[in-house]
Parts: sequence; C-alpha cells; structure tokens
Amino acid sequence: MNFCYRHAVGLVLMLLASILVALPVQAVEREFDEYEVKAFAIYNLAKFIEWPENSLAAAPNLTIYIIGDDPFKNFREAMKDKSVQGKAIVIKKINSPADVKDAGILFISRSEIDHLPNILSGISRAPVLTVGDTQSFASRGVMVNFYVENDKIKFEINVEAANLKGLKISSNLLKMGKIIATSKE
Amino acid sequence: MTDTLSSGAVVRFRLYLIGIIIFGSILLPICPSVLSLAYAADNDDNATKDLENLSLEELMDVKVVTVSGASKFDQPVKDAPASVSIVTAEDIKHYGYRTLSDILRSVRGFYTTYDRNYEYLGMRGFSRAGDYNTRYLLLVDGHRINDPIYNTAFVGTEFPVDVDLIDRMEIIRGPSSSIYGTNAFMGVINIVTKKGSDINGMEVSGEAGGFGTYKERLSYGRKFDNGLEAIVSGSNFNSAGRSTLYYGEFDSPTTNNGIVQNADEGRYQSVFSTISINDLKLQGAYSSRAKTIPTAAWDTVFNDPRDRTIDTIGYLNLEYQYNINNLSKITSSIYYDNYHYNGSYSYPDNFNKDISQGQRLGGDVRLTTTMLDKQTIIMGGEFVDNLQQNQSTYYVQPYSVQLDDRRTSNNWAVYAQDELKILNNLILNAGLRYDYYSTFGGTLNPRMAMIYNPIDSTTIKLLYGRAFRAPTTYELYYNDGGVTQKTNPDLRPELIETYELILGQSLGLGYLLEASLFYNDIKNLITLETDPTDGLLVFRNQGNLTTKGIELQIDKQWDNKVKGSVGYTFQQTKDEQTNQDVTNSPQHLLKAKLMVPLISNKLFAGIEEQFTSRRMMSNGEFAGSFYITNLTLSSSNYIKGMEASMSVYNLFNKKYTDPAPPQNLQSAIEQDGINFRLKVTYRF
Repeated sequence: MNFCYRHAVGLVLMLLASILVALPVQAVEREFDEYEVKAFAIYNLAKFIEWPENSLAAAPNLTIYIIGDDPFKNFREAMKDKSVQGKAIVIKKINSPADVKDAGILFISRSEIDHLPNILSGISRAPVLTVGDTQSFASRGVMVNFYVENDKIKFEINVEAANLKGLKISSNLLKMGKIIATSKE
Repeated sequence: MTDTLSSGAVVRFRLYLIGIIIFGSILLPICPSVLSLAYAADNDDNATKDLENLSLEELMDVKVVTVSGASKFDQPVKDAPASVSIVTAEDIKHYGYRTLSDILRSVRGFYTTYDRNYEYLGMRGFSRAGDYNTRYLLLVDGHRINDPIYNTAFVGTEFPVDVDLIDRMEIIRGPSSSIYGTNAFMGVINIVTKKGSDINGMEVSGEAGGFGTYKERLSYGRKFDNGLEAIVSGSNFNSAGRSTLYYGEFDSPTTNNGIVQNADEGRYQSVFSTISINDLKLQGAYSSRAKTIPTAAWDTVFNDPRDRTIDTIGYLNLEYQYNINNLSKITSSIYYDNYHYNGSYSYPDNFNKDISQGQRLGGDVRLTTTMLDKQTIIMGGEFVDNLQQNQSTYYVQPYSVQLDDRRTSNNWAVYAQDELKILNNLILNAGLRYDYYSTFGGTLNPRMAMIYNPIDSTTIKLLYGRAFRAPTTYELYYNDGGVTQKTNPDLRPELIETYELILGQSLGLGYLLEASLFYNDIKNLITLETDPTDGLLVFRNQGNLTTKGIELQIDKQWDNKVKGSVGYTFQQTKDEQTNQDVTNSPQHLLKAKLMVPLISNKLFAGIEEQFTSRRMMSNGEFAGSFYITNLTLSSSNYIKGMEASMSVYNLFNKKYTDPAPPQNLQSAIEQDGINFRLKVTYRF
C-alpha cells in the first residue's frame, strides 16, 4: 500500500471532499435567479435617472428596449403594473438600435459583444440609458453595467457616457456603483 | 508473477476506490438537488414577490445563482487581425482539461503528438518530427515562456502554471512576428491567469486519475481594500504512469520481449503568484517536472527506468502601466527567466548526462495611443539579454565530456502597429517589426489585415503576414564532439508567409459560422540532416513547405444554456523540393463538443469528439486515423464553494498511435486507452 503513503494528502482531501458532497442539504441562504434580480434592478435604476429636457415626460411610456438574445424570463410579467416617474413600463425587444424611438432604457445583451460599437453609435437621438451585463461594456461606453461579485449583483457606471447623452445620474446611485471611465484602447 | 498479480490487485483496488468516490460525488448531489429544485419551484411565486418590493440597495445584497460565465470570461474577438479561438476557465472545468495539450487538442485545426515524454503541437498541417513546439509562441499574461535554449513551448505537464489557474486562453492562428518577434510563427498561445479576486479566499483541490495519477493544489487569492490584489498557488503532481508498455520493435529476449515495466513515471511541483497594486504587477512562477522515458529514445538501454528528463522553469516579471492621459498609455516590463534541463540516459557501457542551463533578462516598453482620430497606434521596443545559454553533455563512468558549450547572446527589436478605421465598418490593421540578433543579424516582418463588416452580422477578414523563427542555441551549437552531430553557426532564420481569408457570419437563432481559407509558405526550414561528406547530423536551412487548407466552424448556443460547436479542417501540406507529402500532417481534423447543463447551474455534462485522419510516419507508413471521445460530468454550486467532476477520456477505449520523433526506434507510439479522472475542489 505504498501508494497510500505517497498520496496521503490527495486521499485525505478526496475523502473529505466526498463527505462534503454527500452531506445533506443545509438550510442555505435563499438564492434568486440572476436575471430576475437584474430585471428589478433595472426597474429600480430608472428611479435615479433624470432624462434630458422632459424627454421622458413627452414619451407615452417608459420603454425598456432589449437588443440581442433576451436573457430575462418574465420581464414583461414582472413589470406589469409598475411605473416610474409616472410612466408605465413597456418592454420591447428590438433588432436594431435604430428601433429606439423614445426616451427610455436600452439593455444590450451579451450576445451583442462584437457589435457594441455599432449599437452605441447607431442609437438615434432619443436619449436612452444604456445598460449591459458584460465585462468591459462600461469602459466601452455603456452607461450602467452589471457584474456579479461574491454571488451578488453589483454595477459599474460610466458617468461620462451618460452625460454625453444628457442623462443625469443621481448622486445616490453613484454612491452604490463603481465609477468607470471610457477607455480609449 | 506474484508481482504482476499484486500490482493488478492494487490497480483494481484503486479502481474500486475511485469508482466509489465518483458515485459519491456525482450521484449524491443529484438526488437532493432534484428535491431542492422541486422546492424552489413551489416557492417561485413568492420569490418574485419578494424581489418586487426590494430597493436597489437591497437587491444588491441578495444572493443570485450565477449563470455560467457570468460577466467574467467574455472577451470580444473584436476586430482581431487573425483567426482567434478562446477557451475559458468554464470550458476547462466542463470538459475536464488537464494540460494545455488537452485544451489545444480540442481547438479547431490543432493536433498533438505524445512520445511519453513531451507533447508536440501540430497545426495547419505542420508538425515537424522532433520539434519542441518552437513554431508557437507561448505567453503567460504576455510574458514569453519559450526557453532560451530550445525555445520550447511547454504544453504538457511541464508547463509551469496549473491549468486550474487559467482564466482564459487565447489561441491566435497565423504569424504574429510583427508584434511578438521570434516563435510567433504558426501561432500564439496567450494564457490569461486568474486574479486574486477570482479565487477570493482559499481553494483546495484534489484529483485522482488513471495510471495512478494524483494532483493536489492549494491556492489563495484576494483583493484588499487598499487596492492590493494577490494570488498564490502551489501544486503537486504524481503519476505512476503505465505499469507495463509494449513496443514490438524491441520484442526480443535480450530486451525483455519488448515489455517496459514501471518506467512511465511523471512528477511535478509548481508554484505561481501574481501580486498587483494599482498599475504595478509582479508575477512569478516556478515548476520542476521529472519524467521517466519508457521508449528507449536516443538509443538508450531498453526498460531502464533511469532514462529521464527534468525540466525546471522559473520566471519573474514586473509590469508597470502608466496612463499618460485618457488617450495614451505606456506599458513596460522587465523580466528574468531561468531554465534548467537535466537529461539522464543509460547506455550499455556508460551513463550519459545532458544538461542545459539558460538565463534571460529582458525588458520592453510599449506606447498605445488613440491621439490621432480613428487610429489606434502601438509602438514599442524590446531588449533581450541571454545571460547564459549553456549546453553540456558528458559520460559519467569513465568520465568524458562531449560538449561544454557556453554562450551568451542578445537581441533587440522595435515595432509599430496601426489600426486605422477607414470607414465605420472597415478597418485596416498594419504592423511591422524589426528584430536584430547577435547571432544572425536583422529581420523585418510585416502583417496586414483588412477587416470589413458589410452588415452587422457579417465580418470579412483578409490577412497577410510574414514571420520568422530565429535558430535556437540548440540548433546552432549542439554537437557531441563529432561522434554523431556537428554544429552549424551559420543558420539563418526560418520564414513563413501566410495568406488567409476569413468569413464570420451570425446565422441567427444563436448560430455562428466561421470559415477560413488559408495558404502558408514556409522557407529556409531548419532541418536536421546527414552531411554526406562526413556522415554527421547537422541542422541546415533546408526545406520549403506549403500548406493549403480550409477551416469551418459552427457554434451554437441554445436558450437553455446548452452550447456546442463543430470545427472541421481540411489541409494539404507539400514539400516543394521533393513534391511529396510530409510526415505527421493529417488531412482532416474534426472537433465537436457539446456542453449540457443537466441541472441548471448545478450539474453539467461536457462531451467531446475528436477525429484525426491518418498521418504519415518517418518510414513512409501511416499512423491510422482515429476518433476519440471524452466525457466529463461536473457539478458546482451544489454545496457552496464545492465543485466536483468526473472525466472519462477515450471513452470507447480506441487504440491509436502517434508518429514518433526521430530519436525513437519506434515509428509510432501507442497512446492511452480509456482512463478517467475524478476531481474535487473546495473554496472557502
């Protein structure tokens, strides 16, 4: 049993690990679906944003546009009777940034990672808060970008990008997120 | 006889033990988690209701089930002037990859050859027998790993960084000498390692695999509030290897009837650390691997477990990034590399030691700027001082020295690259690098790429590149005192020119297509030949190969997180001087993989199918074509911080061989049949 001695560390680890695996389920902290949380986070974000020159007031609703693969499950359902700044929330899936017609929020899916510059430059003059959840999006010009840290949802804010489009972000929101600048690389 | 019996019992005992653990780890989590899923379904409504009333601050404090690869590993292959494949930490986990060689074998267009000591890479129909992967540049976080004597790109167990520490691996096909200089000939493999925050605590990992293989790893990583981020990791690997191997070429009573016993052992210890604060980063790695050679390569005594090599690799790299302003930054690094090779070879009447020692000190500075409108310009310079490039070989008893060659050399380079956005959807990328070597002089290498996006879903790339590979110290100066091999200090660099047309097309419904048409022309190939005047082996710039080929890949991602891809390569390599086919160059390669989350975020199945068509061997015969199937089941997030996986390699126990390098009497080396690995990682 020479190999038992030679690999004592490995065997002990293995044993320990398999015991851990086989342990009965403990009452663990409640976990939620990532995109369910993100859906409500986007809704809550809207409360901290001031759209330029009453452009939101002029719009019939607050539209959340989704471009690319839709990772949300029941976004529409969840927003059914929600409103922000007096506007009902409407979810709209779009194929091209040109489909953005009114002030609102544009969620750029991870699937669009290679088209990001085209999307950002293709948005019409309608002021939209751009939101993403893909690494490097904030530094590439997306205004709010979610990321997951220690199983919790955090976000980065590119203030410069928001200011360029005339959107004002409340200081309370800035306190909660990480400020990121557009990188020119 | 009793020996074989008892070792058989031990093997069986291990099989049982490992089998039990596998079932414990894989099956047990399934049952309760099915239950807990049902529980979750019951409470789904409440869950949504709860979230509904939370403020943003509270939402940021709830725990989420992370979707595989959540925001962490995605990297746009944006506008790269090459065909690029990316393998992520998730892929490494889900497909059970153990070495770089495992990873590369799964990538479109690559194939490997194993001689039971080193792993050799092949790509685009090119894999020279006896080449230590010198036509690939291997980088860890941008730092050159290829050693200063043989320029080996280590892709087997001798690679100094544990694969568990890889965050992402970028495989860049085609020449990149215009940026990186020598070795960036067939391709560049850049490994991006994990940061402290990726580990965020302590991680213990243990694995057990076929042929008595065990690996343990302990890692610690953290990002502190003051900006300091650190990762420290150590690994220990032990493999008994195949207890018996049979080589028909040696089947005679004087050589144990072709049977090798207990001479396939492998071991390594490695440590790795990265510490960064603000814009300063220090990285160090050290590893030492010993491998017994069971094949009696280099005409050594058959079935002698003293034949072995020890490769010790270490480096330190200090990198500093300075942001001049929003538009420009300077990145600079200084580094030190140390490489030691210790080979032991037993001969009937003596024992031979083959020892090499290399040291390299270098530095580079690079400016990246977007000051000019629509342009990204990179300019840089590099200096390398090879402090020591020593090779020696001697017999032990009676002591006699065949070679004691002590060298130093240096080289420097300047380069520039401009990415110019001619139109919004048209990019011109042009680069040029001049290298000067104290050994052979200067070489100038350009690369040009046009990248065109006619519509959003389509990318067309047209690429031209030229690259060189400097002759290595080994090729220039190795000799054994005129017994079998002599030096050739007049070697010039090898050159390659490539042309490639790439089409990237998003087909909708999650389908992505990449097609590429390529033509490679290799000249002045450094080849080991026999000089007819004196019968001695010598390296010469002799050889002109061309390769024509086509590659196709389809990737598909389904809504339910199932991911798959199929890649196919057809290639034809010709020796232009003899107008003949070349050795170890398969015409067809097929790679298929599929990852299915059996239980969302908890249990994954990764299955791979790899096909390699027949490859010509040095004797003109063929190593047959083969299919290999690998299967990995992995579970994560079941118990917080715990990951377990079970892999079966060569599931259908396919018997196949790889062509052998020239130092072997065998023309083909048989590869492993079915084998497995169990791995458990716990993070706390």
